[in-house]
Amino acid sequence: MLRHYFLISAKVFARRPFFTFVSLFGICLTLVVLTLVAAFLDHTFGAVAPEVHTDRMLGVFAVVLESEDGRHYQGEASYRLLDRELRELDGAELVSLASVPQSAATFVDGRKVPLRVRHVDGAFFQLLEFQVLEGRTLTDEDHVRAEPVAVINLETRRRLFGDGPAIDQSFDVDNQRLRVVGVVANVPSFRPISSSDVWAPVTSAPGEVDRRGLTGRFQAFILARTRQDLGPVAEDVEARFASVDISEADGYDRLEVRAETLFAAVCRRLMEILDEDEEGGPPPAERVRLILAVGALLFMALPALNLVNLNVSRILERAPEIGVRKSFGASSRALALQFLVENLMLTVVGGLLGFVLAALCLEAVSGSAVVSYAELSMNFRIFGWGLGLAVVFGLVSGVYPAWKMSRLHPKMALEEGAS
Amino acid sequence: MIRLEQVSKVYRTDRVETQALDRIDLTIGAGDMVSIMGPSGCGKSTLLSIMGLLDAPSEGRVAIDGQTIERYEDKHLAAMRNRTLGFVFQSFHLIPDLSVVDNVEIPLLYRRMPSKQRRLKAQEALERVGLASRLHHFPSQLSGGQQQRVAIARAVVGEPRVLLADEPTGNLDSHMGEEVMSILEELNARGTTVVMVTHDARMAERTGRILRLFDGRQIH
Repeated sequence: MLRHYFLISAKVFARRPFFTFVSLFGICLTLVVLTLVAAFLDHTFGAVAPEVHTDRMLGVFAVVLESEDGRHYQGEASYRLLDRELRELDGAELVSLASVPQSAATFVDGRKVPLRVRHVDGAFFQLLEFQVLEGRTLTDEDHVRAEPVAVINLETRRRLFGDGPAIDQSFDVDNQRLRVVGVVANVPSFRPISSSDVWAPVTSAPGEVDRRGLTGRFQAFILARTRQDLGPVAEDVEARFASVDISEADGYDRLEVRAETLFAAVCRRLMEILDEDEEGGPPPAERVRLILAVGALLFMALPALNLVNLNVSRILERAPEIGVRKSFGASSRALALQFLVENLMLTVVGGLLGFVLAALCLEAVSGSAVVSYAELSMNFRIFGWGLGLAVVFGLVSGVYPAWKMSRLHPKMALEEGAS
Repeated sequence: MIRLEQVSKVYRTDRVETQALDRIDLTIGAGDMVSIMGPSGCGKSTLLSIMGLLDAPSEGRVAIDGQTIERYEDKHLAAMRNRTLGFVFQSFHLIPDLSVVDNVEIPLLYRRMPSKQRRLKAQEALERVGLASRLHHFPSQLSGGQQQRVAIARAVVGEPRVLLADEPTGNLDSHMGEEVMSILEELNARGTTVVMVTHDARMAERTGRILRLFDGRQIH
């Protein structure tokens, strides 16, 4: 019976190429977009090297300063402020301070080579798991001794040294001569915690450690011992900054600092931009998750509605077939099953095509210069969910037409064909 | 074989009520060959649909093969149609997406017969109507007469005891109509009960009994 259903489904699809194309296109496009969006989100917020501990990592990404006369500052903090307040945190396994990447340049054979430089402390490479290709990463000793050394990524190694040796070679950047002690794999630019071209000890940068004031260009990353420690650590951070003396804050009256996950920080910022930062409402991360889930569902619903529409319109066209099948013993249930199998087959074929297209798109994005060092890969979990949802929608979009079809009166269905 | 007692059929819409059949009493014995005649709209096809359990009467009782149809439940009727009845339609109603042999297999499909056995029986049925060489053709590749022969093969493949044919020669020229009529006669000679709606008096004369309808009533 199933073989017959598959056979007739294949023939129906082949005989109605436009319908088949529209249906497959809708399913494919939906899965490709979902998979690409999921891949980007996963590679930004997920546990992907070097940020493998995202499940128990918090960041102090910005400080907020406000004055009674309405002035507002939101940006990175000074190294001194973070170093003073965050070094001894209960429940934290590691605390690392690192600057956001700064644009800089070096010259190779008179040619300018733009670089992003991040100044980090000794804990940075303990907290993150970079893939070391040559030499070593930075250590506490480099930090304490303010060694003018650097770790560079593979692309920078290629641009600065070509095929020659890189370790112990020096290059000038921002009026500072740095000696290469290690080469690590490229990190995509959409990993905001770890990505850079050059990593150097913060202590080696003149004036950076002793810079006064609350604001600067540093962020703190905190690795909690366990996931359960995330909440207490975040509360501890807030409490510590609540008691900070802000007299050196250039006329600001209030300082607000939060320790949060990268996802929560991005969501909060997004909600602030959209002016949706409601006091007392659900946290921004929850709202964004809900928006993403509803968006994905609506996005999946479009091809489903399209299929329902196409299927219903096909019913009358196939009325004679329904009449014939009923005349020769098909029950309404058998006919409904036949139609469901047809829909399911279309959905699964669309899903498989979507899988191939999504893989090709991810490869194309990774190979292009759209996102530096992107190595997007198929997220099978997301794809599985997408395909599962597509199958569910395939069933749902088939149930109504199948039910409607199976209710056709055999005599009327035959007369429809005869007319 | 088929017994109708005081069968009436009324089609109702919001404003109009149409009496398609009016108190029909009819008994058709096993092995009979009966034709139903009458002007257009007199209720011939409605009567055939009720005999074929494709439609339910508004009043009266229908018994097929000694079994009175009291509950018109979908599953029950589907099984009865599949086992006992075979249909031949004026416009053939072959499924264009399926090959000839796949079309003929349809009634067996709903008996959950294994595919090999199904294929064998469909081939035998097509041999009986002289189309053994057209198994893998599609309906659109056949003449009208050939299509009707495929439709007859489909109707008889499950060896039903009753064959209901609604103007089986209506869309065919006289030569092809003759071919189809001969096949029906041959099936009847082998014991199949044949009930045929027709406008063609010559064809009707070849059946053992003619039932005439006028305005939904049986006139003799």
